[in-house]
Amino acid sequence: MDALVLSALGADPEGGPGVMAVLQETLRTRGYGIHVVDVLTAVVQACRGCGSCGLKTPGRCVLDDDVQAIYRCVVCCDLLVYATPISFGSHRSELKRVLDRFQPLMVPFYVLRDGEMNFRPRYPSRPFLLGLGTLSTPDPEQEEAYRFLISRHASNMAAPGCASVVVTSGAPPEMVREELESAVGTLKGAA
Amino acid sequence: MTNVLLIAGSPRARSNTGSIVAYLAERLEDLGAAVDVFHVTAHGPSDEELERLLAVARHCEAVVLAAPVYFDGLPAVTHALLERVHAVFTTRFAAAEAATVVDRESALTASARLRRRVAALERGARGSGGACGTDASLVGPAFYGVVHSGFVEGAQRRPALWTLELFARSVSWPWQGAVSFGGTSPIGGRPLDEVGRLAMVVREGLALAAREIVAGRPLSAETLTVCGRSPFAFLPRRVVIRLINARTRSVVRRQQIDVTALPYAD
Repeated sequence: MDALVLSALGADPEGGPGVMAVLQETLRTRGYGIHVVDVLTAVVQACRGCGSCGLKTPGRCVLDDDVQAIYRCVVCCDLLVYATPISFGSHRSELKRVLDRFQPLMVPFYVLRDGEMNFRPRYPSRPFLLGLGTLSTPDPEQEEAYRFLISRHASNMAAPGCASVVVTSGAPPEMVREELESAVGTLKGAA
Repeated sequence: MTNVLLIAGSPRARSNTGSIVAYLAERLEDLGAAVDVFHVTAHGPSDEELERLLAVARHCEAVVLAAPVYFDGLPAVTHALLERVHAVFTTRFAAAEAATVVDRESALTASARLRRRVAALERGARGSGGACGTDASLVGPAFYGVVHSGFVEGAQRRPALWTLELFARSVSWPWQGAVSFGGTSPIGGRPLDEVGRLAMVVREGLALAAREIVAGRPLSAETLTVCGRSPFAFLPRRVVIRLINARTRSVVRRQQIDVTALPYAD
């Protein structure tokens, strides 16, 4: 069982490393092989919305950088983790740069899914999705926005299930572990 | 005269966001506003360009950020721009506070300014929720959003709207609301006047929004309702999907494209 962690937690040098350590420990205990990509140091060009991955080079992004290796991991992992300091209720822009590049994972045909227009997923098996967001101080509004975003991602990528965890960086590790364990536990079939 | 800064938050050169911003600029100018337009581009602004942008924003009564939805949110370059603006505000605020410790006179001025700023913010919050009656130089420009996507459902654009609102809160710019357009793919980067019926909702919505922006009012429920209509509302969504897919499929067949290829699965 493989987990791919796309992490922007390094953007919070004080709280980030602690949260990352607990995340890795929790996943390892559950039997996951873990691959971490630090999106702050990865070479990631911004999506230009060129549309090539739709019909010109079907399923393939023409930008040649570290995201090419990320695609290969995403299409075969069992659990995909987005880990980030919460930024205006969303991911840090460094992580969003990677996610903006995920259009090749879809086929340019529309379907009606969960009562909404969506793209048809390209790959037959999709990972479960876990969002891990950190806040420097408790902020219910940002937390609500972030959890909503993760549920949108799960719906739009046709993930078999999703969960989100929001922790205040500086929270005791036991508390973070407990939250993560219960969130990962809800991803039925993932562990 | 009302000064308005329009930010086109798309990384693409010829974008639907650009079409929307150009049309909104015309409507605002028709109403006598002075309009500045800034394009984010694929690389985002340099530090100098960011400084210039902030200098312009300081002299504006209103800032409007327009953006497409990329992967359920703002495009990363546009989100990064907001993070940089926020960082500048945080740094300057910290610097101002540090200065107050060493210099008693500037401390008094700064705290008086802070009190006025807080009072102005509270007045704004207690009033209609907008910048009416408050001094723009004290509270920052009124902030509006325009978000659009090809998908017709409003929920698809909600996270992006939310991000704009939370950004406004973080820099204490009075949040005036955002309009949200679905089904904008047929625009194809053309001027809205050339798109015809499928851009009618966008044209009407922007014309209504322009009046409220110039008046310094928050966007009204009526404007939001007009903007929220789908341009394909005359057809059931299943039919819309079938029509779009049929068009794509004919290109696929004609050019013999392996559209369902799995290049990253080997």
